[in-house]
Parts: sequence; C-alpha cells; structure tokens
Amino acid sequence: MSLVKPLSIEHLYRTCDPKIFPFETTDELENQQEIIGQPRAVHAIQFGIGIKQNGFNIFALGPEGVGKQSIVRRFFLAQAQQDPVPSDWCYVHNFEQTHRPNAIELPGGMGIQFCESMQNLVEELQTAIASAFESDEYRTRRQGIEEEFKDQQEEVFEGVQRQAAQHNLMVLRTPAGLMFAPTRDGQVIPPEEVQKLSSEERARVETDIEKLQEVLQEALERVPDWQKELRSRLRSLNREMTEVAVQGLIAAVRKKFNDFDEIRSYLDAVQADVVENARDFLADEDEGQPGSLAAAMQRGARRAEGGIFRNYEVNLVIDHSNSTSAPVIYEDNPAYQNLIGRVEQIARMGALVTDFTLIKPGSLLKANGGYLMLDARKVLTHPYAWEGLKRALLSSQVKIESPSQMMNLISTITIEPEPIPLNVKVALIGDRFLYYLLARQDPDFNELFKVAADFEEEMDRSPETVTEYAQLIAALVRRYRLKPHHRDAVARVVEFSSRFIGDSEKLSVMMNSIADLLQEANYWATEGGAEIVRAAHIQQAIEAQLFRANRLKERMQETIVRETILIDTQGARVGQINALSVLQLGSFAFGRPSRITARVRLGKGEVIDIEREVELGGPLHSKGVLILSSFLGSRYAPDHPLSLAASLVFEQSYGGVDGDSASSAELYALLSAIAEAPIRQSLAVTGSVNQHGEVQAIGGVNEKIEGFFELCKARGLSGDQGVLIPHANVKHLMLREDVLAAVASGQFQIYPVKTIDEGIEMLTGILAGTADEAGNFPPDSLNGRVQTRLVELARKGEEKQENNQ
Amino acid sequence: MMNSATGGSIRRILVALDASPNSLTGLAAAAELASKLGAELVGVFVEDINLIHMSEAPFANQVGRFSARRRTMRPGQIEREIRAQAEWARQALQKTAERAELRWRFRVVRGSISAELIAATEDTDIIILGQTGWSDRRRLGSTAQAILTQASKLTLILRRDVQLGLAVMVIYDGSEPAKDALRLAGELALFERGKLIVLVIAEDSRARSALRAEVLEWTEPRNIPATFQWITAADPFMVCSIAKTEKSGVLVIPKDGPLLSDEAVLKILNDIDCPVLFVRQPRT
Repeated sequence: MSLVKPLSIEHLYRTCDPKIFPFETTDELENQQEIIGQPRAVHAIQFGIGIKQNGFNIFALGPEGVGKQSIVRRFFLAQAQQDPVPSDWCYVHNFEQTHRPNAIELPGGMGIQFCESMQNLVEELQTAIASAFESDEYRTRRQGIEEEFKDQQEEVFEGVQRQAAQHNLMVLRTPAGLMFAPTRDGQVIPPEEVQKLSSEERARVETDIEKLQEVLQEALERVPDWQKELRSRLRSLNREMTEVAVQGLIAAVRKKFNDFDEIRSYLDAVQADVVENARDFLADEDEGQPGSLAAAMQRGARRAEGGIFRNYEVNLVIDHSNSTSAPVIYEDNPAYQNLIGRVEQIARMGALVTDFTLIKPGSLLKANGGYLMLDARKVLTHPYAWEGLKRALLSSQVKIESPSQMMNLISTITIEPEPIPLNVKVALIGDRFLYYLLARQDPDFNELFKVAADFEEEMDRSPETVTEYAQLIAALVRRYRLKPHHRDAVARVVEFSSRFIGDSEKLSVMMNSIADLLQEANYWATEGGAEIVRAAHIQQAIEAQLFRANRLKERMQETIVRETILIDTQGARVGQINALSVLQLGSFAFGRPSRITARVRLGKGEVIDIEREVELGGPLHSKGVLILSSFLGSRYAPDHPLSLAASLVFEQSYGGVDGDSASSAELYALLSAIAEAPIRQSLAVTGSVNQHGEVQAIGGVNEKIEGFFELCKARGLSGDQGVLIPHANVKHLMLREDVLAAVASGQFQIYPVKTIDEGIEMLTGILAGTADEAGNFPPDSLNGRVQTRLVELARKGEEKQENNQ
Repeated sequence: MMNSATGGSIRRILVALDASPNSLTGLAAAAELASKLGAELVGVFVEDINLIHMSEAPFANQVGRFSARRRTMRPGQIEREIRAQAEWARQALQKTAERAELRWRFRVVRGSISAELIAATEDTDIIILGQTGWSDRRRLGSTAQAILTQASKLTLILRRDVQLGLAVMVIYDGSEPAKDALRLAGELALFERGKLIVLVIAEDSRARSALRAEVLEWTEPRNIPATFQWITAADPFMVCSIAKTEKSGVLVIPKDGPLLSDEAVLKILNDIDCPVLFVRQPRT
C-alpha cells in the first residue's frame, strides 16, 4: 500500500522574500502606481472617456473595495485637465411667460460678469430714473399737462358759472354735489323770499335751473374722459422720460454682451419692462400717504423679497469663474433633487410661491461639460432618481422639475424653467449583481451605459507583479501619509494579499483591505514608537484584525473542546468522519469541523440525505449526495440492483448546509459503513467528488485546515492528526504560521488526495484495491469488502422479494 | 424799531375745516405749526347758510359731482349731510390734535362761510386756509380771497399738495408791515432751524443797502442766518421765480405794504408753489 505523502512545508505557504525588493523602505520608491491588475477596467474607462457619442456612459462594476471610484476619478480628473472650461448658465425672468424662466448660456466665467452688469444696471436705473422724474424738464412738462387739464376744466365750469350769473343764479357746493340757487345782488335769495316770488318768476327760475343743470351735467360727464386723457398723456410722458434715462444704460450692457443673441433679446425685454414700470424705481413715492392695508402689506412683502427689481436679477446657476478645467463631481447623495436640481419655494402671505431666482442646480448641471460619478445603489434606492437620471441622459437635457411635477401631481404654484442642454459623461459605480440586474431588467440601461468597466478582485502573483505591488503599497503609504514601510513589511503584505484572496498564485487587488491593513500597521508602529513599519507591525495588525473578529469562532471551538458538540480527534469509528465547513461572517471567514455519519441496511437502493429530507440541505449539497450514490451504484453494483438503504447526516447541525465540499467525506463515511471499516478520527476531510470517484477542488481550504488544526491543538497534538484536501487545492494553500510550525515539527499533516481510493486508504489504512477485467475487486481490499457487502445485500433483497411474492 | 404786534404772540391757530382734502392739508400744517409754537388749535366748521336756505327751496336739485346725475333734495337732507361733515371734521381735528398732543377746540357755526371765518379770526392769531375752491383750478377760491382782503390777522394760505418747508422767505420793503413780516419770518426760521431769505424791494442799491442794514440789525443779535435777494419792483413773476430757485418753504408777505398791490398779491398766490403767510398790521 502506497499511502499519499503529506505535503512538505514549502507547499503550504508561498513566502515572499524581502530580498527581492531593491529598496530598504517604500520612501525610496519613485515609480509609485495606484492602479494595478485592472487592465480590462482601465481600457474600458479610457474608451468610455474617449468616445463622445451619446450613451457611452460608464458602469464600473466589481466587488466592494477594489477602488473602482478612485480609479474612475483618477482618469476623469486627468481628462478634465485637458478639456475646456464649460459654459456658465443662468436663469433670467421671462417677461412674456413669467412661469417659464429662460436659460442663457455664456462662456465659462462670463456669467458672473453678466450677473454683476445687471445688478449695476438696476442700481443705476434707480438713480437715472429718479433724476429723470425729478428733473425740471419733467416737472414742468407734467405741470403743463396738469395745468392744461385744470384750465380746461375751469373754463367749462366758469362757463357754467357765467351762464348762471346771467340768469341771476349761483353755483353752490353741497357735500355730495352742486346745485343752483337764485341770487339777488350776489347773495342767495332766502327761501322765504323765494316763496314770495310770483308764479311766473318761480317758473322762470325753475326753467333756468333746469337748463343750467343740463349744461352742468354735460360738463361733468366729460370729466372722466378728460381724466382718462390726462392719465394717458402723463403715462406717455413718463414713458418718454424713462426711455431717455434707460436707453443709454441698457445700451452699455448690450454693447458688452453684443455677441449673445439671447442676452440682446433679454435686454430688449428688460428695457420695455422698465419703461412700463418706471414708477417702481421711484423710491417710496407713496410713502406717508394714507393707503389701504393691502397695499401697505404688498409693499412690505415686495421689499422683503428684494423688491420689484427681482425680475431683473440674474440667477447664475452654473458659475465657472473660478474653474480652470472641466468639472469632475461625485454626488454622494444622489436624491432626485440633488441630481436634477430643484425649484425652491418661499412662503408669502401664507402661500408658497416661487420664481426663477429660486432655481437651484443639481449635480448633473454642475458636472455639465465634464464628468459625474454616482453610486449605482444609491441612485436606485432614492425615489425617482434613476428615472430622472435616465430622462436627462436620454434627452440630453436637464429639465428642472419636482418629482411631483414629473408625475403630474403638482398642487402649488410652480415654474417650468427652460431645459438646459446636457453633455456629461456619467460613471455609475456598483457591484456586478446590480449591473447584470439592470442589464436584464431595464432596456434603457443598455442604451445609456454602453461601457462596462469590469474590475478584477485578483491578479497573478509573479516577480513582476510583486514589484508592481510594492509600488502600489508605496503609493498607498504616500496617499494615507503613513510611515515608510520596510521591505519586510511589504513582503508580509504580499503574503497577506495571497492569503486574503485564498490563492498562493494570486494577489488581491481589493485596495480597501490592503489600505486598511497598512493604516492599522502604521497605528501599531506609532504605538510601538517605531519610525518605520516592519513585518512585525503588519503581523500585529493581521492578528489584531483576527482577534477583533473571532469571538463567535472561539465560542464554537469551545463547544467542541468541551464536547457539547461531539467531534473525535483520535481513535477510529465505522461510518463516522470529520468533515470541514466554512462560515462567512461579513468579511471574516473561519472553518469548523462537523461530524458526518452514515448507516446502511437492506433497502431499495436509496441514499437518504437527512439534511435534504428536513430541508436543511441546499441544492448543491443534494447534488453532491446524488453524485455519490450514482458513483456507488455504477462502481460496485453495475450488474445487480443496489439493495441498500443508506442514510447520511451532518450531526449536530442546526442550520442549513450547502455546498458540495463535504461530498467526499460523505462517500468515505458511506464506504466505511458498507465495508464496516473504521475511519481514523484524527483526520478531517474536505473535497467534492464526481461520478468517477475523483476528488475535486473546494473553496476556503485554508480556513478549513486551520479550523481542524485549532481543535487538535486545543486537545493536544498527537502527531497523527491531519487533513485530507483535494490535490487541486494545493496551490491555494497559504496557511497560518502556527500550522506551518506544527507541520514542520511533524505534529500535523496535510494530505493532497486525487481520488476516493487514495482517501479511503488514508482513512481506513486498508488498501482500496483495483478491479479486474470483470469488475471484481480483491476480496480483502476495501473496495472488495464494499462490493461483497453490496452483493450480499442484493441477494438478501431478492430473497425478500421472492418471499413477498 | 420793531414792535411786538406779531411774532411770539401766536397762541391760537384757526383752521377752517370743511372735510375736503384741502382743509386736511391745512389741518396738518396747522398742527405742525401749533406743535412748534405751543399754540392751541381752533377748528371751525361753517354750515353754509346759503346751502341750507336753498335746500328748502321747491326747485332744489343737486347734480352729483362724480356721477353727474340729477337728484331731487329731500327736506332736511342737506342739513343732515352737513352735520355728518361737521362730525367728520371734528374727528379729524381731534385725531390730529391728540396725536400731536395739542390743546384744541372745535366749533360749528352757521352763516356765510367767509363772514363766519373772518369773525372767528377775532379771537385767534392766525388763520390757515387751503387755497382752492370746488374745482382743482389754481386760482384762489372766493372764500380765501374774502378773508385775505378782510381779515385783520395773519393768514397762511396753502396749496393742496405742499407742506411747510425749512427755508423761510420774506418780502421786505422797510414798511411797518414788512418789519412785522420780517420779525415773524425770523422767528419761523429759528423754529424750523432753517435759513431766512430776505427778498429786498428797493429802487436802487443805496436803498437796498439801507434796508439790508436794517434787517441785519435785527437778525444778527438773534443769530438768524439771513441771505439776501434784491428786486427793484414788486413784480409777482420775479417773486415766484426767486421763491422757486431758492426752494422757499414758506413765503411771508407783508399785507398792506405800499409796494405790493392786492392785485400783485393775488397774482403771486395764483402762481407760487409754496405756502404763503400774510402779515397784516392790526387795525387798532
């Protein structure tokens, strides 16, 4: 019998020799690079930035912590330096449709000039208009018009009075009107004397009064027309004076912005509006005059809001006066309004109102002409944010409206700002699940995010890549302002990286974990008063991370050591084996042994997986059990029915079990039970099995080995303890130092196993045996014993069947 | 040389009230003046006897000033309307006086408006009148004209939309009324903390210098800052235009002076923009 040889120490851990590094500390490294191992993603990002067509936005996908955002940002920033400063945008009042403010585009940095020009203009207009209205010319002309009106009025009334005097009548003023009274010698005739007048005289007086009343009525009826004419003449005088005052000032602004059509037509509208509302520029002309409460409140409200000049303000929403390159923006709270922009409202006289000065830009506008980075998960979890983003990108414009407006649910007064054309490169950053989910579920997604930058989590470990890795570490040290790292520390990080990814031939590119480790090691170095971070500090950091995480692991270990959970680590038992499983708690994983037992009896050829029967087993576990029952039948009973009933169980397992990594262990337990050959309990087993009896690779091999080792160590290493692992997993080994020490001193062994036969020989100490041409195994071999038992069971089965018939 | 017939003796201010905007301006100016001089405010409302008589006549119709509609008067209607106006005027006076913390009196009399007002001036020191009558014309109303020619006291005539200003301008020709006018103008300038502009009417520069010396003799001991303007004749147009250039807040005119005829005074009143205060020698 040639048993499998345990692995020698060099297979268990791939060290990194600090001597391969041509430096003492990372300070000496000049070529520092922060991006390694991501050629595919880098290519995609560069392509995404370079291509200008619509829809070629980037989705950076990959696991958390590989540095997606910082890599995307780095490329965006580099490109933004080359790109021109984008346009400024401002919103101005639309004098024709007040609810639809106009957007005006200006070259970057000119927006603020326009804004200031308008501010100055309003200030100057106030002075200019006030002086126009205070000028002698205006006063004289106004008085002239008013006098003319008065003269006209006077003339008519004097005419009436003259006519009255001719008839010995006088016009008297009553509280509500005018009346005629007969006079004598310029005095009104007292009523008693009127009574004495002859009837002819009275009739004459009455007729005269009648006539004059008609004349007076006619005159009074013309008053409103005169007043109307007066008002209209005063209005045109006001307009004329304002035009003169305003023209020059507005022309100066117009000259400055003559190249911009939109500003020219805006200024025309401003001029017309100022002329129309010139009286508003005259400060408090109605102050001190008694007025209605409503008018006073209106004046107060107007003043509180910046007054009537609000309409001439410029709301500079995008200002690039301090920019030197295109913007690169990361929106960390991509709620709908932060993304698209919003129109704020203010309370006025108890109602919510708004205007163009309350338009606030979102990050899409801020990044317009540049680059915007968003966290895909956050965008998807904020209501309407994803819809809003898609609408903006599909239509290549930003239309600022509230979500309720978007859904036609608006109930307060609002405005519809003119949409602004959008030219922005968006990078969504998210995990692979989200990318594939969106790609499958949202047809727009594939139209809008055509560039997938797929980030790796690992890279090959070779002398060249290790050198690059050292440069990466140096870059991280600089970025986080850490103490210089000695080359032995760098070597230790390289080893950690392989262990982190669970593969001695690979290195992890999960930048977050590496950066965390470096920072923690730096902390310990500082605590220890060291100026340079050494391997010991890295080790201390690794152990401290483990210690903080492994409370549950220790409790579970304790239940086994105290034999609450029964796991044997010595002796031999039929149908009982130590399998190994891995528990993942957040980012921390650890292995633990589980006891699997198998029992057989006469039956109909079923292998009952008790985990599956009670629905504690997952599909992969069930698959493993079905494979092994197929292996059993085809190998040992190809010609006769399999007449056994076998049951398999994970003892003391109270939660779900999934994965097929225990299928080899289950097969060993089954073979042991059939052949009644005891299994060494000092060994634990991991690996899956196929229908040909080959042992296949599994995940978490390091954690599994360490899990069993810790139990054995706690009980005292006997020297014959060890773990059977699939041969294919040897390259993944990056075991802990204490395991390595135990192996080196011969107290613990790792056996790489290729087939079930190799494994069962190790476990039972009995030769597996090879079948002859007829398919029969030697009777003394383990396979022979299995075969004999199965044939025996088949015969018993047939007998039983005959008896039943 | 100056007697004490005028200045410093304004203790009661008469304001004629008829509830029109003009009389309200008069009331505001009266209150301002009363407050400065510590004088009492006397409001008089005259029930126009002519109106009351006429309303009893069988053919009494009135034409609405705004509506231009003819309405027959019901018996007692005018009286009721006039009473309501009087009450309104009383309230306006009370409110104004209380706000300015003034002593005040209010009287309703019945009779001819100008005659009753002239009678009311007897126990007051100054009368304040709005300038216009029932239309918006600039010309002086008949009541104001009558008071101006007949009343023996100080008369302040206000245009509707003009208030008392800081600069006080006085016409000075060396006559006794002019001296009174100067004295009053000086006091007003002191109260207002404003300047005094003396418009000297003198035929030649020698006469002007003499008049100027007279004025200075009176103003300098009292620290009243005075500036001088000179015209050779009492030309209403010149007076108005100087008042305008000097931005005069009130023009003080000596009535009954030898150089200013009644006609000239009326012309000034019709053309000027600022309030005008007439100073008249008491008829004793």
